[in-house]
Amino acid sequence: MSLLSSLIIGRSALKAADAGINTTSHNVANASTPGFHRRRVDYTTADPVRRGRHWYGRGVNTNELVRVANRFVGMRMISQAGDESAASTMYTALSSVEALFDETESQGMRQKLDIFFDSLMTSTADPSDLSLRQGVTFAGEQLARVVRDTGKSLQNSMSDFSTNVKDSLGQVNDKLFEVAAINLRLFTSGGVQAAGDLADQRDQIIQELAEAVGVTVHLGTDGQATVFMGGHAVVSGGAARTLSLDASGTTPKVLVSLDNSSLDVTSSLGGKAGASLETWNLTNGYLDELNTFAKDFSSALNTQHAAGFDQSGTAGGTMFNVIAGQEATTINFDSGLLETPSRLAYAAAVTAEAGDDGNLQALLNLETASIISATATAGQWLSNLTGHVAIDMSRARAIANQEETKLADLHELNHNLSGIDLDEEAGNLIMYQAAYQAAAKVITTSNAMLGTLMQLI
Amino acid sequence: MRPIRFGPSLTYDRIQRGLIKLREQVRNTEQQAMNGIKQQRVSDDPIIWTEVHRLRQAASNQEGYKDNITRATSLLGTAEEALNQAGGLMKRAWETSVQMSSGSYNADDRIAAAIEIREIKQTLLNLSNTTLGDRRVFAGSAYDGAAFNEAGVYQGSTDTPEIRVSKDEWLQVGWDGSQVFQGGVDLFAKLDDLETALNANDVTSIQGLLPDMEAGVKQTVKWRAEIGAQWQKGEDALALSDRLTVFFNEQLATMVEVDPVETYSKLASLRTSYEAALRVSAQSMSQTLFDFMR
Repeated sequence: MSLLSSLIIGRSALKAADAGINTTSHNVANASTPGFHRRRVDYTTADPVRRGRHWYGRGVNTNELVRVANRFVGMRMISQAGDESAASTMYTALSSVEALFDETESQGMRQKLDIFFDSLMTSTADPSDLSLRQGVTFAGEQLARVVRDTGKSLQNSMSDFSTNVKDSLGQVNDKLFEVAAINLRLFTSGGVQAAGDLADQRDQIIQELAEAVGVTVHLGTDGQATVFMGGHAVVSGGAARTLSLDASGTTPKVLVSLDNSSLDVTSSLGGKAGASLETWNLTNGYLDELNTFAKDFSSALNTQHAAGFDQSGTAGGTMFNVIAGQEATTINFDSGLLETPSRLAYAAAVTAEAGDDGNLQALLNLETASIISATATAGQWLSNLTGHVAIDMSRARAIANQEETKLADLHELNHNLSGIDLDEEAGNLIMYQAAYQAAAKVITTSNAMLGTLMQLI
Repeated sequence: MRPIRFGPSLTYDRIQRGLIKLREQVRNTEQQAMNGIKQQRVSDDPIIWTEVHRLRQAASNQEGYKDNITRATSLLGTAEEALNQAGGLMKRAWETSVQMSSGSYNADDRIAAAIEIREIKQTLLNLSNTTLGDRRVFAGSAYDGAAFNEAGVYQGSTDTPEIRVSKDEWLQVGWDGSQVFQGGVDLFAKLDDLETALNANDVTSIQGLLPDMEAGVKQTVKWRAEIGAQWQKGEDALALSDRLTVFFNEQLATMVEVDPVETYSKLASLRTSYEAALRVSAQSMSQTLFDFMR
């Protein structure tokens, strides 16, 4: 073998060490970059050459920069990111609804209902006492107000959930087009291994899409990512579709644009958007329960009140006013009764003696009557509603904790496979630095020997 | 065997998750210590709220019943005192009628006695219109007006008002004056008759009124006893209500309130754990091989 061969071998070693140092530097620089997969250099020994009876090596080939990624773990991460995002979003969203059913300060709807019936019971002491009547009108007004406020707050929460979805879809659409653009660039760059940074960037965006709307992805052998929502491709190659929210009907829907139409993908929506819409549905259910309460409660009280007579002998009028279809958000205590408590119709007879409390007793008996949906007392219905919220919230919390733990475990697994350990990279740096120094020594030694040879000529 | 890699992001994520969980536990326990309630949110214990609401309602009802019992016993006390005085008056009238039925007294004595009987009747009429506040206790349900007019004619109602003092118990707190003062024996009419007989020096008529005077005394005693029975019922209801209030509040406390000693101990322990975790976290984040390379 000639001295020139030694120089060439030294050069290949220098190039290999240089690639190693660059790769290690790149890994260290991106140690905290979300979605970054560790890089390593792929080396192979150069094919030997035969001279005479001996085979001589020709140094090292620096082949390619390998992106260390486990495809299966990557897919699971994307799926789990969507599930965890959905669970934590539902937990957060339901927390805001749960706050409307605060029991710690005893100011909830159930307490106000009890206070209202207590005030009626106290009125039995003297049905003609104006101050006791004022107590009833005040308690009635407070009850109506807290039901109305709760109903409106539930409605506002639903509107917020829907708006959150609509606002997030703009960013989702941008990300879908970003994925499509990266697919094109990857295709022209030679694939995932050749352009690992692009692949990392794309996978990170897909994970964000999974967190936002719950997508699944298929990676082709050519490195192209096809993104699916509920079985429909929303990104394929360099093309992407758009998502939009249709809030015009009774329930909001998420639509995917097709060539000449749109497709409802609400049922397969995941991530934050899916959780927001699921919370919308749950909250709508609570509002329906409250509407039933307001409707049946006001109807029962009004019917009974109308059967009695006030202090002037006039038949009782409406006690609670509601608008059909919006009972929970519109219920209010009759303003006429509020201003003139003597119009409370306690008497059973039109002569309305001061102590005639026949109709007052009947009003009081409604506390223990099954007046809500003919199945529950007013108090039981409100207690059940609180219970439903509590159980849904408790379940959401448990699921959020589980999904967070699962995602953390996957994240650790992924990090073990593809993450950066600074100690490991520091060791590699030392190794490549020593290799570079040794390769440089080979070159300088071969060069000195060549110089000596030249002087002989 | 696959190496375990600990990078800065993974280390930070682990530390952050652990600290967040600890911090949340500390915060929840602090809230419990401050407001004394176990469940800071309804979801902390989803299944108890029906029972908690029932107990709160029951305890609240007892407070209402106690207020009603207080009102009732005031009215009962007022009526009882009025009938006590009425009984004394009727007894005086009876004694006078017994005296004046004797032949030992003359017409002038009887005229003087007649004046006394007229005053007794007037006082009795006033007692029949006894009020507590604006409420006449012997006017039945029509207690916002006079029970009897000047002529002794009943103006009130035959219905009698009741006050609810427990879930299934009521106390009568108003009486039909026509029964109390005119049922059995019409006290006003008989006193008028006695006055007339005395003015007329009619010993025979006076003697004829003696059984009515005696019956009048017994009538007031009987009604006073009835009111006394209602009073006792009220006392019993109050005692029961007090016991039930304590019971319901104890049950509520068990379900809802924290044990202060246990909570403060837990809080101290959690705060110590949190501080230790912070110190350990600071150490974990600091060292890599790069720190030792020259």
